[in-house]
Amino acid sequence: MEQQAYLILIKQVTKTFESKAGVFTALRQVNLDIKGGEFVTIIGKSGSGKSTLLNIVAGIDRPTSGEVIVSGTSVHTLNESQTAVWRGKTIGVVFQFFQLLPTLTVIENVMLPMDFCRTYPFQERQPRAMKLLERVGMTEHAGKLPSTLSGGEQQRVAFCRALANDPPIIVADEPTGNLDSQTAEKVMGLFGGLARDGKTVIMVTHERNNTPGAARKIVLNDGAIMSDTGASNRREEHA
Amino acid sequence: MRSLRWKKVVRDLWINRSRSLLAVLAMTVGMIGVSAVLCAYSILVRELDANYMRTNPASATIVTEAVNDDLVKALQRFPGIGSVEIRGFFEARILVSEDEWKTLFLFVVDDFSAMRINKSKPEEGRWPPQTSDILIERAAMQVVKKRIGEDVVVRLPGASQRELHIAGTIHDPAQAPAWMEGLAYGYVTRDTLNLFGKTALNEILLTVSDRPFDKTHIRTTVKSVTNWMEKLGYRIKRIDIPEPGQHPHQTQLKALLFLLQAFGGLSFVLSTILVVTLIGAIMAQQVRQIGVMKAIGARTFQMAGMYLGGALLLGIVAVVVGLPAGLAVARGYAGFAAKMLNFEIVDATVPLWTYAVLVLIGLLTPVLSSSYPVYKGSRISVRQAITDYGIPADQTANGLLNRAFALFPRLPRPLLLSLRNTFRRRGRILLTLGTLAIGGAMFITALNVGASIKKTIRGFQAAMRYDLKVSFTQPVTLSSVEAVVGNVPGVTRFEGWSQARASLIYEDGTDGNEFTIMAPPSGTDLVRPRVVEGRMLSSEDRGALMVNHIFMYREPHLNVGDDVILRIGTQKTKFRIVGVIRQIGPPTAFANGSYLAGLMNQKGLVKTLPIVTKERSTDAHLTVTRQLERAFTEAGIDVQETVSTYDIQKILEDHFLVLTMLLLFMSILIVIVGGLGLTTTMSIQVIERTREIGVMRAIGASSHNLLKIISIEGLVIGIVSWILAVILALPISKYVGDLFGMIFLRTTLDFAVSPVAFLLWLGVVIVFSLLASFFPARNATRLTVRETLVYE
Repeated sequence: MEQQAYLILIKQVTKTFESKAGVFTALRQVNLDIKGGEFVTIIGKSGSGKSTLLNIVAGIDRPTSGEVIVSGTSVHTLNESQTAVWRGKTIGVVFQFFQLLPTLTVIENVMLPMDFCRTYPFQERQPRAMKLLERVGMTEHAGKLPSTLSGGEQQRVAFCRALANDPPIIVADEPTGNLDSQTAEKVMGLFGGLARDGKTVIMVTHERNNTPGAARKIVLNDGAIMSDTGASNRREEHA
Repeated sequence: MRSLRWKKVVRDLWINRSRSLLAVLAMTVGMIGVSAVLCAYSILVRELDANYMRTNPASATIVTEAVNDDLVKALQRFPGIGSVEIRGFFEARILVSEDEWKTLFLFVVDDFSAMRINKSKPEEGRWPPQTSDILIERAAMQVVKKRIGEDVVVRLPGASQRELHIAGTIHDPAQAPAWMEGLAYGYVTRDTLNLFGKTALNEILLTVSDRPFDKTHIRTTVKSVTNWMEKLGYRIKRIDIPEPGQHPHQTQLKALLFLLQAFGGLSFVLSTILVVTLIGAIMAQQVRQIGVMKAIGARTFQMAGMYLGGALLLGIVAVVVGLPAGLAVARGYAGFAAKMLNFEIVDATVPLWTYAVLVLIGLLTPVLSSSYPVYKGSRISVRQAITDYGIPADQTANGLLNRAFALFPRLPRPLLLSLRNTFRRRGRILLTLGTLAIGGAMFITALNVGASIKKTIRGFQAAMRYDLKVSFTQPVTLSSVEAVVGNVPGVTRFEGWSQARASLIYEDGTDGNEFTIMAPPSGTDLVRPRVVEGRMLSSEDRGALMVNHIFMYREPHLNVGDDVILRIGTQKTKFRIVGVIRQIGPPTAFANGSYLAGLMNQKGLVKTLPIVTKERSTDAHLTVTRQLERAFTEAGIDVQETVSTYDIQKILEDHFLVLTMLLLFMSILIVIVGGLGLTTTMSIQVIERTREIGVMRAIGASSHNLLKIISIEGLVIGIVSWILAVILALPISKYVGDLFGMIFLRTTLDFAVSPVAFLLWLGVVIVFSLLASFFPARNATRLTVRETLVYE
C-alpha cells in the first residue's frame, strides 16, 4: 500500500566508490520517497552526494546496497540494456552542460530519444518535436546546430529533449549552473511549469535560494539527508 | 536518409573529414592492391591456360629418325592415340651478328595451314612461308636482332649453312618465351629444309584419345608406341611429355601471383587498422555523447550499430573507388605479364566470383576489425561516460614508462611530455606502431630478397668456375680442339668434357623426359658446386651420379643412394645417385668423365669445352666467342652452341629484378598505408589534447614549443617503429626469400641483407614522422587559448 502511493522509493541506499585513494561513501543509508507530481530540489555542497543520489534515481548509477523502486520498477535489479529502455521511457534527463549532440540539429536532438525508444511512429516524431520547441520558443532555431546557440537556448532545447518521450519523471543536475541569473530564472520557470502539469521533477542544485518556493527541499550533507521539507510536511499531514 | 542515427554517423565522419579521408585513402590504396592482384590472378591463370589449350598441345613428342607417311597413318590407328602430326625439329644455329651465333630451335612444318597440334598463328608478314623463307617466333625477334624482310644465316648440325629470308613472324604460345631462354625459334617448310640437304621429318607430335590430363596414362601409351616403333626398326632419340594442360610457366606464375596476393591482402588488412584507429578515436572523443545517448534511451547494440555503420560506410567508399582502380591496374599488369610470357589476353573480363570476394573483403574487413573497439566503447556505462576525462584511470605516476622516465631526472619537461603523450593511448599507439613496423619490415624484406637472389645466383655461378662453354654437335677429339682453342687470345684455360643425353627408365618401363649428363674429368676444379645431400663424385667412382636439385625436384620419388636405370642412346645402364648439388638450370646430372666416355665408346673425344677467359665482361666474352666460332669453323669443327656464364648470370639477375620490383611495389603500398596511419594517429592525438594545448599556451608555451613537442612525439613513434621493423624484417626476409627461391629456383635462397634497405627505411620513416606531425602541430598552434579552453 505504501509503495503504491509513492512514485519513487529509495530504501536504505548506500553508495560507495573505490579508488586507489581509498573507499569513498557518497551516500549513507539514504531513505527517500517522492510522490508523483512533486517538484523536489536536492541541495548540498560539492561532494555531498546529491548528484550521486540523482544518478541512482535515474538509473545512471547503481547503489552498493539498498533498493530503488521507481514507477513500480526495481531499477537496481535491471541490467544496462533494460535500464536504458526503462530510462528512455520513464526519465527525462537534463544536464548541467546541456550535452546536445553537436552534429545533429536542434530538432534532430529533440527527436533522438523517440528514435532510440520508438515511442512514437516515425511520422509523428517531427511534429511532436516542433510542438515541444514551440513551448520553449525555439521553433525558429529548429534547423540550426547547437554550436550556434547561446547557453540558455541550448538548455531550452535540452529541456525539450528530456520531454521527447513524455516521461513521468524529469531529473535535472544543476540545469542553471552554466547560465546567467536572468536566463536561469526563465529555465527554472520551465521546470515549474512541468510540475504544474503533473510531472515529477527532481532537481539538484548547490544554491538554496535558487529554487521555486513551492518545491520540496532536501538538504544533503556527507551522503546523508540532513533535512527534508517534504518529510516534515508529511509528519504534519499524518499528525 | 530517414534515420537520425545514420545522419549522425555521416556527419561525424564529415566533421572529422581530414582523418576520415586519410582512413578512406589508406583503405582505397589497400583495396587497389588486393583487387589488382586478385583480378590479375583470375585473368592470367584463365588466359594462360586458355592460350595454351587453344594450341591443342601435344601430349607427347617423339623425336626419331626419318618419319614417313605410312608410319603416320599407322600411328593414327594406334590404340589410345587421338591425333598425330609430323614435324621436323633441329637444334640449329642462327647468326645474329658477325661471328655471333645463337641457338635456334628450327621447326619444319609440312602444311602451315593444316596445323592441328601445337598450333601456331601468323603474326606479321607472309603466310604461309615459301621456300627459302623462315618465320621467327615473335618473342625471338629481339634475340635474332633482325627485322622482317632481312636475310639471316642458319646452320644445321652436320649440314652447310644457308641464308634464309625472314618473311614474317609467328606466335607459338606453347613455347617458353624466347628472350627468357636466350634462344630463337624458327619455322620453315619442308622445301626449305631440303635446301640444307635434309629431307626427312623426324618429330612425331601426338595426342591421346582419352584421359588427356593423366600423365601416367600418357606415359604408358607413349611407351606402347615407342616399343612398337622400335620393333619396326626406328631409333627413338628423345621423348618429351610435358605436364598435361599446363603452360610451361604456369606453376611459377600462379605461385608468384599467390605471393603478391599475400602482400596485397596484407596492405588491405593494415589499412583497415586505420579504420579501427579512426573509429576508436571518434568513440573516445564522443564518450560523453555516448553517455548522453544512453541516458536518453539508447541501448548498447544501437550504439555499436552506429559506429560499425561508420566503419561500413568507409568500406563502401573504399570499394567504390578502389575496386575499379584496382581492376584497371590488374588489366595493365595482366597485359604486361602476358607480353613477358608471350601469350595473348583474349578475354580480360574478371569472373563474378572475384568481384564478390573483393566486395565482401572490402565491406566486412573494416567492420570486423572495428568490432572490438566498438564493443568496448559502446559498453561503457552512462556514469563512466559522463565522468570521462580522457586519461585512462589506471595511468598513475607509478606506471612502468613513468618509472623508466624517472631514471632520467634531467629530461626537459617538454620532452617528458612528448614521451608520455606518445604512449598515452596504448592500444592506438600499438596499432600505429604495428602498421608502420610491418610496412617497414616488408619494404626492407623486398630489398633483402633482392640481395638474397643476387647472392644465390652468384653462388650458383661461382660453382661453375669457367666463363664460356662451347658444345659441339658431335663429340670431337680433344687434340683437335686443343689445337684450335690454344691459338685464341683471351683464353686462359680449358678442359674437355664428355656429355650425354639420357632419360630415366621408370619401374613401369616408361621413359622420363631427357636430361643432360655432364662428365668432367675426375679431379676437375672447373666445377665446385655446393653439395646439399650425399657427396661429390670421386675419381674412383664408376656408375655414380651426382644430380642437381632440379632433377630431384622433378623426380621426388628418388633419394640419395638409390639405383636408377638410364637410357643413354640405345643403352640401358645402371647408376647410383651419390649426391645432390645446388645448381640452377634444367635437370642435370654429373658422372665421371672417363667412365661415361667408356660407356659411350667415346674415349679421347669431348662434347663440351668449359673455357676460362682472361677478362670477365659481356664484351670480352663476345670477342672471345666470335674468335672461337671463326676458329672452329675454319677447322671444320661443328659448334652446337657457345654460352657465356657471365651473360647467364646477368640474364637471371635481370629476370629476378622484375620480380623484386613487383615485390617492392607491393611493399610500397603497405608503406603508404603505414604513413597514412601515422598521420591519422598524430592528428587524433593533437585533437584530443586541444584543451591541454590551450592550457599550455595559457602558461607560456610558444608555437615553437608546441611544434617541437608534437614533432618529437611523431619522431619517437617513427624511430620505435623502425627498430621493430628491423627486428621483424630479418625473419620475414628469410621466409619470403625461401618462398621465392622454392617457387623459382626450387631451392631456398642464400640469405643476404641489404644495408641500404635499413638506412633507406630509417630516412623514409623520419620524413614520414615529421610530415605526419607537421600539419596537426601547425593546426594546434593556430588555435587561440579561448578556442582551446571551450573545446569539447
